[in-house]
Amino acid sequence: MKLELSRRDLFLAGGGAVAGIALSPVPWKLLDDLSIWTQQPPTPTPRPAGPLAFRFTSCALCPAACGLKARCFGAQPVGFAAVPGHPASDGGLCPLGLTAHHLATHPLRATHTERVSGGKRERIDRTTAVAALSAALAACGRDPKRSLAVVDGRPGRSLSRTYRALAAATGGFYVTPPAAGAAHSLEALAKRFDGGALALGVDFSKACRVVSFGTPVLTDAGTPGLLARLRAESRRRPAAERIEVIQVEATRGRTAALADRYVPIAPGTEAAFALGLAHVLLDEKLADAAFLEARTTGLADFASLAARFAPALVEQKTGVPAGVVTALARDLAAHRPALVLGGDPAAASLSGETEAAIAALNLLLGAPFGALAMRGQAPREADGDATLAATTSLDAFPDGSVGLLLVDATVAEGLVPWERLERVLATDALVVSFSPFRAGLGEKATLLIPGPAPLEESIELEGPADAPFATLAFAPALLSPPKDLALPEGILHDAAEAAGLPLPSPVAGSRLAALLAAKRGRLYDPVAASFVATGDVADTNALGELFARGACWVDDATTEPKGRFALLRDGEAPRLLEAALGAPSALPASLASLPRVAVSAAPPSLLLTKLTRETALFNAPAAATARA
Amino acid sequence: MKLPAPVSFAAGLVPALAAGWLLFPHLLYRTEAQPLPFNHKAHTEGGMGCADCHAVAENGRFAGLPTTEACAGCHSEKGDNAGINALVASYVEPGREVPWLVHARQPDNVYFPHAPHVTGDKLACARCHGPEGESTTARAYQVNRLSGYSRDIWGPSIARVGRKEWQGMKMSDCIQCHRAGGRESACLDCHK
Repeated sequence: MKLELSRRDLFLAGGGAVAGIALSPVPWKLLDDLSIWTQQPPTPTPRPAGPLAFRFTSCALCPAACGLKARCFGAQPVGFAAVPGHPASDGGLCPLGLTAHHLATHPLRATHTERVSGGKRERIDRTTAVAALSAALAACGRDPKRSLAVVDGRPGRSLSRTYRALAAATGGFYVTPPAAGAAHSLEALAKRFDGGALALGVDFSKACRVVSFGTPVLTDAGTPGLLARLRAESRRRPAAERIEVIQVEATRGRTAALADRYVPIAPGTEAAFALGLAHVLLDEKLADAAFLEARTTGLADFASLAARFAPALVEQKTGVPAGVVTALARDLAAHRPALVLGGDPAAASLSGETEAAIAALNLLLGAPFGALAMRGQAPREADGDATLAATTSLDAFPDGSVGLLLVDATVAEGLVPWERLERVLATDALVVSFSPFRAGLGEKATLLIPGPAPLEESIELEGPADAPFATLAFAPALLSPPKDLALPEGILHDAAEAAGLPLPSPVAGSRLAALLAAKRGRLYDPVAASFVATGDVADTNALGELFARGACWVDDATTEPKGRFALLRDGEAPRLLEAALGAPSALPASLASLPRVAVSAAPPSLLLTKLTRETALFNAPAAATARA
Repeated sequence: MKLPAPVSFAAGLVPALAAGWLLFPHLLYRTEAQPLPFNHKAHTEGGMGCADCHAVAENGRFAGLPTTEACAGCHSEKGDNAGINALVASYVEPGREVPWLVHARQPDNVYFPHAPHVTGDKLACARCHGPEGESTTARAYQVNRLSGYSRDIWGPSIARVGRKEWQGMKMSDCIQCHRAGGRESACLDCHK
């Protein structure tokens, strides 16, 4: 008997083999083991050595300046935690801050001076960099059509003083990013006050409802970690006392995904929506009558304007159902304190009319001097005899007029877009960046002079402009910078000297002296978890020691000023009416995108990007669906 | 004679199953011998506990494996035991640390703190390490040729079926235990 093997038998055996492999551990075990190859080497932080210790500092990655408690092995921080009771963040911290220690070893980290020519990066030494900068500075002094512009993301530091002196010496410009997002809308509200200069900040701890017109309050604006913590904590309280975030936005961004409620709205119709809420508040007598009576002017004119925005019309304009408008207005009135914020730091500012409508809504809800707190500024040293340039905006000088652009490491591309900077550059302009990363604006530089990475230098940090109190920290460094790192301040002094431009020497401790002299506020000592009155600190040395332990100064509460807010200013009603009744914009104000980092100049940690890409870290919770 | 179709199919299926279940695990793992024989049982029978050699320091950091100096406290001289003689000759006298191959070593992107588990939650060592204290010899170290991880991370059974609770130290095992204890935590608690 002879066995006949046909092609059919071979196919069947092949099929059996495939089925056998599929039913064995080979496929899923191989998949599991090979998945490690998809991870991005190298390990974010080197395996540490040394005794366990906890150290305190503040995060310099965005303007929030949250407190950080670092868990260190030897000199190497391996993890961060928030600092409960910290005046700036009170136990809040965002994912960026949690991974700040990864950035010094980020693959995009630059540690050597580089010149970019014809798209090619060339490593140069310090002397060559100083010579190039010096030549450009000298040319700025000679030719008024090729002026110097310095963009500084954190004004008020010792380095900022050098920038301003350099700008003054060359007849150039010193530029800081404009107040953006919620800070801009708070400024707009403060300008309506007739009782003198007023600065307002947001005190989320006093709010029950936060209505945000596109402001990324849970991700990028203000102190997002703090609001997230307060909101999570409030969920343990009775429903009436919980903090809820209502995001009103044309596109479902990250804050909308994380918010308690998302109200999708036709782009450019925020003013109509705000006036619709105002209509319901006034029509149903839900507005804060006592506040309106005592603290505002122009109620009758505003009421007649708002009367035109019945929910049915608002639905027609904004696409938000009339029932949602009415319900939201009633909810805000029933859950005071409520506050309204507007604007995205990374997008174009809201129109003046929209900000007027948002300001009026805050006044109807009685938010000023409650959830919108009056705040002061941290004391600064006087300018003295030094000639320092005043702060200007990018709009102050014409396109194509800058021959040398200096971009500080703290400038986030999200706040100062490269397209805007590029417009002011003259042909063959030298763009110098002090960013420690070949990313963001650092990537656009033609001369990159990398400074210390986050946590590698002690840095002076004022809290965000929309915080309820002024805060100041001199965040101590936790890491040592590379040995041959050329510090920007030294290079600037050497280049200025070579160009024959005098620069004042930095005065050590002058801000500490100013802080002591002001005798205001308290210092939070994170090691002792207690406050010390500024007046009880003996001298600048003792103050410096406190800051070196990670302390943070916080201003005293400010007395409520006398004066009234204008619900409508002269000639504002027709403009507001026209804007609110206008057609919606063709495109949303800001496009929904993948998780972005708008307000930090540093690229996010690789681990963070992996987690945000591959996990549900930023995906919407079930509660964040539109209730329209 | 023509083969029946099921036979032809089985002729492919059976060898593939055998290769997948029996041969593949042998190929996947490489075995490395420990530098010294070690008898845990001889030590624990003498009244020693885990923490006598594997201590959690006062600052909360796990001291890991004992140093050669700690071993030399009892084994500073040669005697009848070949293992002890090798320890003294190769490591105690030259002052070298023993390059033990650690079965429970986690990947570099994970920081596992012993203190909250052992000191805080009072978990027994055997909860994760099994009856290691009863072993009479140092198990050979098996390393996954693809991932570089110890076989103990996956567990001894390639199918991960019928595992004891201490067999396997994958992330899913950590999560399972945390969930069971109501200790769910965030990514960055362990991944630094």
